[in-house]
Amino acid sequence: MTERVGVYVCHCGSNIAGTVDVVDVANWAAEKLGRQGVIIAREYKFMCSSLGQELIEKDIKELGLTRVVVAACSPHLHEKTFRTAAKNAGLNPYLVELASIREQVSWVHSDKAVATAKAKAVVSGAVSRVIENAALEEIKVPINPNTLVVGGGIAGIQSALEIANAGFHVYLVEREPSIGGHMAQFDKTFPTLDCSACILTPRMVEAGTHPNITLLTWSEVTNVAGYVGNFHVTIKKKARFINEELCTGCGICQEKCPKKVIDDVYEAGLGYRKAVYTPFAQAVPNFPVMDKENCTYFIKGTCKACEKFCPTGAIDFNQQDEMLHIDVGNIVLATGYDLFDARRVSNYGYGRLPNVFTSLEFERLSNAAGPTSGNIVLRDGKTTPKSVGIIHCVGSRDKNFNNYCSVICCMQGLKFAHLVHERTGATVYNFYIDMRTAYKAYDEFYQRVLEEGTLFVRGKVAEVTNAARNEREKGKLIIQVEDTLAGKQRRIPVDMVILSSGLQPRADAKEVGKMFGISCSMDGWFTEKHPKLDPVATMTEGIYIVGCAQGPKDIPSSVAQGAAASARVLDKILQKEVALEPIKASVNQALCSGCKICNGLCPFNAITFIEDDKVTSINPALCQGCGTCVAACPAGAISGTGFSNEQIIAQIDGLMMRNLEPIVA
Amino acid sequence: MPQMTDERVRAGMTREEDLSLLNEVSMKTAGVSHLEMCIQCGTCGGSCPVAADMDHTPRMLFAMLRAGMREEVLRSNTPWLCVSCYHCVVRCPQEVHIADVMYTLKGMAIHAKLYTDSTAPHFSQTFVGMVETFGRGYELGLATRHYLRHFPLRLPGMMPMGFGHDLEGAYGDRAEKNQTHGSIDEDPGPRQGIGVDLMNKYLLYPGCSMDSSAKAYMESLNSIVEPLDLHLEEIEDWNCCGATEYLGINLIPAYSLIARNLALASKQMDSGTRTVVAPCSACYLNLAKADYYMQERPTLGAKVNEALAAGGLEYKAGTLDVRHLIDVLVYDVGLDAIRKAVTHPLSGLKVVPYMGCMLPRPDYQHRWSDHEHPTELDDLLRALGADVIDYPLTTSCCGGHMTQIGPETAFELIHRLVSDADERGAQMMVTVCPMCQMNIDAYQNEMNHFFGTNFHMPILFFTQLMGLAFGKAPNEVGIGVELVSSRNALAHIGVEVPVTQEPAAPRKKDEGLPMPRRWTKHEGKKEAVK
Amino acid sequence: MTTKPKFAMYWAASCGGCEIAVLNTHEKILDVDANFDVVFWPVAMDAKYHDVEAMEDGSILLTLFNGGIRNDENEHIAKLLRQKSKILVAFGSCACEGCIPGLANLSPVGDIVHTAFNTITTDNPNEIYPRTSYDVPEGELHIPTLSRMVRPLEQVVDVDYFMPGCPPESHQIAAVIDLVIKVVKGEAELPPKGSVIGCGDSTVCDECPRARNVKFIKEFKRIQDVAPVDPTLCLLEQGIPCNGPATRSGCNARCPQAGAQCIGCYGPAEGVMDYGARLITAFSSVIDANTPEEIDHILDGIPDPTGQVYRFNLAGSLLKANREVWKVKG
Repeated sequence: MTERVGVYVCHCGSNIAGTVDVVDVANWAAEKLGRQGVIIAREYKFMCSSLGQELIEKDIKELGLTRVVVAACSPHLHEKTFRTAAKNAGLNPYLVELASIREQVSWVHSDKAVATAKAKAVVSGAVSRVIENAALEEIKVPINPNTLVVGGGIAGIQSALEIANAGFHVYLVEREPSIGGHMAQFDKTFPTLDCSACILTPRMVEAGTHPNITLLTWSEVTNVAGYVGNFHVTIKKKARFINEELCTGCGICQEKCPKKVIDDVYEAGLGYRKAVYTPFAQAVPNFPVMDKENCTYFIKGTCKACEKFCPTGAIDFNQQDEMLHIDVGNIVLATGYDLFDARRVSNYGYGRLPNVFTSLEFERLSNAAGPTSGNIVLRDGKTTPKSVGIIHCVGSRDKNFNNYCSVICCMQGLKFAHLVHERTGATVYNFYIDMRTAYKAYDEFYQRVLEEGTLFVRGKVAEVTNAARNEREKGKLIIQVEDTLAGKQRRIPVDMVILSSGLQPRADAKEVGKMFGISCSMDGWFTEKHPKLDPVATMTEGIYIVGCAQGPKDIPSSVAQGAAASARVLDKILQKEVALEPIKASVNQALCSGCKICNGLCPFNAITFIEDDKVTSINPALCQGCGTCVAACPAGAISGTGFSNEQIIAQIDGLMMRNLEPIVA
Repeated sequence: MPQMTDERVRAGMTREEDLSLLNEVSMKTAGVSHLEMCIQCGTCGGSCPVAADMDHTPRMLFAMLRAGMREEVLRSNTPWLCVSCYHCVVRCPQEVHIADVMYTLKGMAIHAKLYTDSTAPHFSQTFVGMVETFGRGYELGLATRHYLRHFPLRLPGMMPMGFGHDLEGAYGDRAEKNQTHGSIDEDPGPRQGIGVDLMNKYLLYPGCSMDSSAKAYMESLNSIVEPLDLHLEEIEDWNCCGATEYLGINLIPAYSLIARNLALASKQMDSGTRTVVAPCSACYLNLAKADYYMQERPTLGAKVNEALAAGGLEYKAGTLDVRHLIDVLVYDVGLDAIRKAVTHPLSGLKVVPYMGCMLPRPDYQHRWSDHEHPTELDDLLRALGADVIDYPLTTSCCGGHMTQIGPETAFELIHRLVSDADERGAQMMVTVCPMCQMNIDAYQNEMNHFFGTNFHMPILFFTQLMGLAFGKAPNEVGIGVELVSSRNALAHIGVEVPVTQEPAAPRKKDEGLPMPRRWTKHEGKKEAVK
Repeated sequence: MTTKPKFAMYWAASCGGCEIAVLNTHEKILDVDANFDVVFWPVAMDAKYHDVEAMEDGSILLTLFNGGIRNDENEHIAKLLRQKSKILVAFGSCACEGCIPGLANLSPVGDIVHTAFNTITTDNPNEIYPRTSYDVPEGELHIPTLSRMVRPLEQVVDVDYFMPGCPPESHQIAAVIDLVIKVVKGEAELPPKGSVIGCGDSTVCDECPRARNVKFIKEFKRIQDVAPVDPTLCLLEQGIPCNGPATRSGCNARCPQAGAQCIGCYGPAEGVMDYGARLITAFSSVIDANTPEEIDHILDGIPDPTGQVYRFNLAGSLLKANREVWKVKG
C-alpha cells in the first residue's frame, strides 16, 4: 500500500521565500513526487501559526494522509509543534518529518536558483524517508519527586526553599562547610544597603531547619547517572572529623586550637581561622570542620587540643569520607562564581603594592564581623586612608582577560564609594569606562553617590604605581589615568586602591558540566537552553542552571532564577511522569552473535549482556537513542527506531533524486 | 573592515567629514589594527609616558580619526611624540595596535606634508637616507647631520660621546661584508674538547649600535660566550633593522628592510639552529614584529616577499625563532649554569634592573614573565650575586629617539627613571638595550642641567656585570667608556663577600594584614627563580 | 534416454577454488552425477558455448555460477546462462560480492593494463599493448574487453540464490545439493528467492568458541607479532583485527579455531549493508584512547584498511570502486 503523503512548504515570511521559490517547490513536489505517494502539496506564509497547523490537521482528516512532510525551519524549533498538530488530527506524531529549508538552505545560500533546487532535493529526501517511518509510542516513566540542588548560595537556597515549601524533598549539597555562598562575605548590598548577612541568614536558617531539606555541606557530587525523572547521584560527604550527632556548636574547639591559618576562602585571604573552624559565626550548619592539611595532629600526630576540651566528645579523628547514593528526579545547579584573579593585571599592582585591595577583600574590611572589625584600614592593619581610588572593570570588558561585562562591578564600585565615605570621610575617586546602573533603583543610587561628593573620573586606569615623581606623590599610590572628559592624563595620589574585580566561571565549571551532561559557553559559564526565552533550563532535560553559574548577575536576578527553576521542577514533579522520546535502540537477538563490541559504549549504561543466551540486550528506559551502539554493531544486529538503515538510505536516495532519474551506471 | 566608508563616500553621503580616513589608516597599518574596536576607554592616554606633551591624547586622536578630521589628525604632534613603548598596546582592552597606527600616521603626515614641527620627520628621513646608502646605521654621521640641521648649539656638548664612538672602528668597517667579532664563531668546530652542542648555537643579529655607541655591549658579550659555551654565528651581510625611524616612513619598505635579515638568517639555518638572537631591544622587536605581522596579515607577507625577491631572497613567516639575548641566557643557558660560572659574585652592589619598554612588550611570542614587571633581569642579576632593588619603573620608557627629536620630553623621562632609582638607593642601573644605555648615560648631563639636579647614576649593560662576575677585568668588558662613570659604584664590589641566607623573620604581632602571594604570567610554567 | 534434471557450473573471473570445493564434497559428487545431467561445466567436461545457445530457455534446472564479471565474455555467458537456467545461483564470494578479483576496482582499467605490460619483469620497450580485436584473412579475431569495473553477478543478471564463501565450505555445498535433490523429488520446498543459502544467519562469532569480554584495544597488531596468542580468548580482544564480528557464519569459524583471524570470506552477515563500513566502525568503537593523536597512533596498527575490511567485498559494497575508477567514463 503506498502511503498518502502531504507536503507543506513554509514561506517563513521572507526568511525562506526570499531565497527559495517556495511555490515552485510545492508545485514540483505535487507533480514529481506523486510516484512516491505525495497526494497534496501546499505552501503557506507561516506554517507554525495556528492557521498553518490547521491546514495540516484538515488534510489529515479529510484526505486521509498517512504521512506529513513540513519543509520549514530546523526541527529544533517546531518539530514538536507539527507533531502535536498531527496527533490532534489522529495521526501518529512520528509519521511527521521536518525538512529544514531555512537553516540548511535559505540561510546559507544567496543564489535563488541553487537554493530552490536544493530545497527540492531536501523535500524529496524527507518524503522518501518519511515513508519508511514507523508509528512510535512515547514511553512514560515516573518522576522521582526528590530534587538535588548543587550549591548553597542565595540562588541555590531560594530554589531549595521554594521546592521544599511546596512539600517535596530537596537535597542541598554545598562544597564549603556552610551554606551562604559569596553573599555571606558581603557587608552591605546595593542599592538598598541592606546588611547582607541580615537578609541572608534568615534564609540560611530556614533552609537548615526545613523538614523537607536534607542539608549536605562539606560535600561534593562525584557521579551522576540516569536521565530526567530518574537520576542516580553519588555524593561524597567529606569527613569533618566532628561527630554531628554529638556536636553542640559551642565553639570551644576553635578557641583552643593553637594552629592559625590564613583564611583564603571566607576572609578572602585577609583574615585568619584555626585548623578546626566554622567559617563564620552564623554558619549553617553550625558544626565546625577540621582542615586536615593544616591540623597539627594530622601532620605530626600531636596536639589534639580540641579533643581534650570538647565537652561532648564530638571530635573524631578517625572519621572517614562517606559516599551517599541518592535518587532524584531533577537537578538544579547553583554553583556560583569565582572572583577574577587581579594579580593578572600587573599594572594595577595587586599582590605587589600592599594597599591595593580586591572587592572581596574590601567587603571583609568593611564587614563588622571581619578581620578589622569593620574598620576600613590600610594593609598595616591600623591606618585609616584619607583618599581612596576605586577602579571599575578590572579583568572585565578586556580582551586581555575576560571579554564580557561582569554586570555588578559598577554598582559595587558605587557601593564601596558610599561605604568609604560613610566610615572614613576619605576623598573617594571612582574610575569607570561606562556607568552601568540599569536596574530598579540603581541609577538613583548613582545619583546618591554623586550627591555624597564622590569624584568620578571617566577613564580606564592605566596603572597604579608607587614611583613618585614629586613631593605630593611621595608615599602614596599614584593612579595614572586619562580623564577622557577633561581630555588629559592625570596622576592622582591616593592612600588605598580598591579593584572592582570581575566575575569568572568556577575553575572546575567544565568538569562539573561534563559530569552533569551540560555544556559551557566559550567564556565558561553553563549554557542555557535559550538565552532569551529559557535562561534556566539546559539542553539536558531535568538539569537547570541558576544564579551566577549561568552568567554574572546581581542578587535579585539570582533569586529570581532560583525561583524560576523551582517552578519548572515543580511542574515536572506535579505531572508525575515524563514522556520519553521513543527514539531508542534495540537488539535483534537472532542476529546478535554476542561479540560484546557494543557493551562498553553506552554513555547511559543501558546495555547489558545476557550470559545465558549469550546475546546483548538494551534497556529502553535508559536508552536515549544516541545511536552509538547502532553504528558500532558489526553484525548490524542493533537498529535505532527513527534512524534505521532503510530510513537513511531512503533519505539519501531521495536527496540524490535517485527514484526520479536513474543514475547512469 | 567596515565597508560603509568607501560606499558612503562614493554615494556622496559624506560631506566635510572624511569617513574614509579610518579605513585608509587601517589598511596602511602593519598587522590588523582593530581601530574600529576602540571604546574610548582612555587606557592609552593614561598609559602614555609623554601624554602631557601631546597635542591630543592617543584616545582623542582616534576619536578625531573616526570623525574624519583628517587635517587636524595629521597636523597633531601626537604621533611624533610616540616613543613606541607599547604600554598602550598591551593594556588596550580592545587589542588596538596603537603604536603601529602612530607609525602609519607619521608616514601619512610626511606624505601630506602636514607636520608642524619638522624635527622628527627630518630625523627619520636622514636616518633612512643613511640606511639606504650604507646598509647599516652610522650614528656619528647621523647625529652630526641631524644636529647641524636642528640643534647646532648642542653639538659641542655632544663631543665626548662622539669620541666615545671610536670613529675608526665604526666607519672603517662599513665596507666589509662579513664582520667577525673576536671569539664569536663563524665555523664552529669542537672547542677545548667540548663538542659543539647544537642547543647552544644561535644566529646573531648584532644591530648597528653594537659597533658604535654600544661597543661595550659587544665587548662584554664576547667575554661571556666562552664560560657559557655559547656559539653565536653572525648573520652574513645583515642590514640595519630600521629602528623606529623606517616604520614611520613607509610600510612595505620598512618591513622588507627588516625581513631581509630574516631571509638571510633563514639561509643559515642548516648550520643547526633556527633561532636568531638580537642583543638590542629595538632590533629584537623589529625582527619579532615583522615575523609576527607577516603571519597575521598574509598580504603583508606576500608584498614583502615580492620586494625580497628582487634581491633573490625570500622569507616564509614563522620559519625562524626570534629571541633577545637575555631570553636566551635566562631560559636556554639557564640561571643555574650562570650561577656556576660566577667566580666573583657582585655581593653588595646595589642595582636596579632596567628592562626597558621594547623588550617585554608587545611580546607577541609570549616569552616574557610579565608585560609590566618582568623578573628575568632581576633574577639574572641576583644569580650574579648583586643586591637587586625592586624597581617599579623597570619597563618605563627612556625616551628612545626623543633625545634626538624632542629633547625636553626625553629629559623628563630620563629624569623620572634616574631620580626614582636614586630615591631607592641604587648605586647603578643595569640595562639590556643600547638605546636605553645611551639615553641615560650620554644625556644625563644635559638632563641634570635642564632640571638643575646633580644625579650621578651610572648605567651599564648586564653583560658587563656578567663579565665582571665571571672574573673578567673591567677593561675586558668595556667598563670605562661610559660617560657617567661607574668607578665609585664598582668600588663597592672590590672585595669578595660570601653570601649568607637570612633566616626567615618570625611573625611579629603587629604586622598588619597579610598580602596575596607574588605571581607572574608564567607562574607554574617557567621557574626562573630557584 | 534420461529425464534427469540438467546441471551446469561455470567460472567467470575466479580462481577455480569453487570448482575444487565442489569436487571436495567427495562422495557427494556421485550424487550429483546420479541425480543430474551435467550439461555444461568447462572445468570438468568438454562443451561449447554454442551447445548452450542451442538449449531451450529455462531448460537447465540448476546453474552454479562462480566468478565475478570482469569482461564482456563473462557478461555474455552470465546473461546466456540466466536465459537458459531455471535456478541461477551466485556461487562463491566472487559471484556474490566480487571477492579478490574485485580489488581491481581500486585502479582504472587502463592503469591495470599498463601495469600488466610494464612490470619489472616485463620487457616492453616499444610500449605494445593488446588490442581487443584484430583483422585476419579468416575474419575478425576478438578477445574479451575489460569492463570499467568488476561486478558481482547480481549487478548483471537477476540472481535466485547466493552462496557465499571463498570457497563455500564443502559441507555446505553438500547440504545444498541434498536440498535441491529433495526439491526435485518433491520432498522439500525451495527457500524464498533471493535468499542466501549454504550458510548460517548470524556471524562467525556465533560459531567461534573463544571467550569474549568488553574490549579495550590499545594497539592493533599482526598475529605474528603477538606472542603467544591466547587460544581461548577472542582474537580482536588481543589486538588482532579479526573480521569475524561482521562476517556471515556457516564456516564453523574454521580460521579462529585454527588460530588465525577471520578474514571475512563468507561475506557480510545478514544485517550488514556495507561490510567494510561496519568493520571500520566496529574496530574504531573498541579503541581505548583519550586524545586524537592516540587514536591515530592506534589506527596506524591497521596500515591497509581497504585490504583489511574490503578484501572480499569491495565490488559488492555501496561504493563498489574508488574515485579514480568512477571518474573513467564507462
